[in-house]
Amino acid sequence: MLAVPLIAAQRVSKQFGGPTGVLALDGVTLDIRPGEFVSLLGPSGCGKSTFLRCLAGLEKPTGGALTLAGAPIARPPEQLGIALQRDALLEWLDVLDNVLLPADFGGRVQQKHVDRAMELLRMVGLGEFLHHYPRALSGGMRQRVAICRALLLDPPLLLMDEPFGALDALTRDQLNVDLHRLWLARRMTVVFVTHSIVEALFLSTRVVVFSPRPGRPVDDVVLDLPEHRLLAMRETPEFGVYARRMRAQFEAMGLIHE
Amino acid sequence: MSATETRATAARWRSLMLPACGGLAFLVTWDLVVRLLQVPAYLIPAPLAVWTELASFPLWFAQQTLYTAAVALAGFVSAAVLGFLFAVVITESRLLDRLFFPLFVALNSVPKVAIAPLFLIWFGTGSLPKVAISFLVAVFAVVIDSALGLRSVHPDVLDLAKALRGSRLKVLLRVKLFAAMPSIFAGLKVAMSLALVGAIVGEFVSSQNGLGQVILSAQGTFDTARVFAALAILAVLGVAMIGAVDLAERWAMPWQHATVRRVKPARRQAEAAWQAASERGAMR
Repeated sequence: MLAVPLIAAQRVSKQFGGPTGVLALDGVTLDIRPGEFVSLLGPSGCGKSTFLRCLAGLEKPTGGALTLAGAPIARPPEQLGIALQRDALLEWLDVLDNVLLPADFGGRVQQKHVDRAMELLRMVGLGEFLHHYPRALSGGMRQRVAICRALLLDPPLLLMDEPFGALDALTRDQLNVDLHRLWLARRMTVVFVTHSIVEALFLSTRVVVFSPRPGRPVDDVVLDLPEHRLLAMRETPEFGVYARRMRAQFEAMGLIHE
Repeated sequence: MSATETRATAARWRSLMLPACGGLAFLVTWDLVVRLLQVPAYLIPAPLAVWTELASFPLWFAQQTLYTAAVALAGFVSAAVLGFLFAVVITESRLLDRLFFPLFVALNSVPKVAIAPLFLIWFGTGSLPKVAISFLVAVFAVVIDSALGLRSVHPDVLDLAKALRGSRLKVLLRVKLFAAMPSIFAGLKVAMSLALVGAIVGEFVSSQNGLGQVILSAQGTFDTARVFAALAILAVLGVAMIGAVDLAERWAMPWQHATVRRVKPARRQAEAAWQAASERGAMR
């Protein structure tokens, strides 16, 4: 693959609290090409979320160069899709208006946005809940709404920061399947932060393993797995090989002991 | 009637009857104490004497009440509007917060009763100085609670708004204002009762009208029943005004008690039809 990178990180570092503060990222060099689904895999506190926040323009790197489509990221890029660990739904808006928020913030809500929002909600099984307030929904339903919101404007780049971290295992599996289907339909570039090996392998075309304190990539694997992912794929030998490789990385970092 | 309906009716009945029972118990105790201890009427009149006083001059009491209520309401509304705007200013600008908030706290620390005579010099003896005092007494609660609410937005929500490139005005109107509402209404309730206190204080200093003036002149002639009558009206007025803020709160924050937003039936039908069509399209 010789495609031009959409995201180019050159020795990106981030230090919080001045020169004597905590070094969260140390020399992250990473290219992400359009259409890739890249998982940043690592333990909590390894700086993968910080890297994502730099991509979203919410933090500024203290060193190195970080570009999106060739331009440095100084502020949140246009047409960015973003989903965070907490769903960050606005409790005072109904489901439909929550999904329409990017259109509202970007200018004015038009009929095409409403149509798109209703289509997305129907695709994730929330067509009956257009006018429910978020408090009436379960955690999994809320996170689905948050994903629809992130996808409303068909963003070429979708950033997700452990979006399923707070959900139970079954709901998490279902949302993994939903997200995979949405990605197959649109093929946007996704940067997905997770600490679950299985989730990263199930969803991604490529997995980047981060080491903790300071965060930097220690492994970078382009996955040779079927295009259409099924949950059963997680029991195949190929999947197991990758999972063992990732677990070995965690063991080498001293994060898992047996 | 279903079981849930019966339970709902019972709950509504309890929510109305229990406070009424409490009030009744208070009146009975009052009456018994006055009778048994033979308290002279110029110290504490019996509840019935207070009622007789009220019933003898209903129109006159109504006029005085209306005057005080109007002053308190004017003080409350100005405190609510200006207090909220000031809270927006100090939460949106760190510079203005540093510049003016300490000054505001310092000014608030001056006893309002001590400023009242000054207002007479400035605004004369009409209703304006009373409104001004009512405003001053009430505004602090609005500013403190509104600012607290406007700063209470979850950081994740602010990050999201920033990533969606929302303008400051939109973030304020769509996010901060709503996130702040529970705090704002808590402040408004405190401000409402304080505005009433302010109105009475203003009338104590100088007035020809209002319940404060009624209390002051009745006290001069040891007409204790009239003092109690005015106090009883004030108590009821206070409850009614707080109740009105409560109603406004319920109306302004439907998402706190409803699970589904009220939408025009026509819109709901159109959306259902759209979804059915889209479903068929997806099947094809």
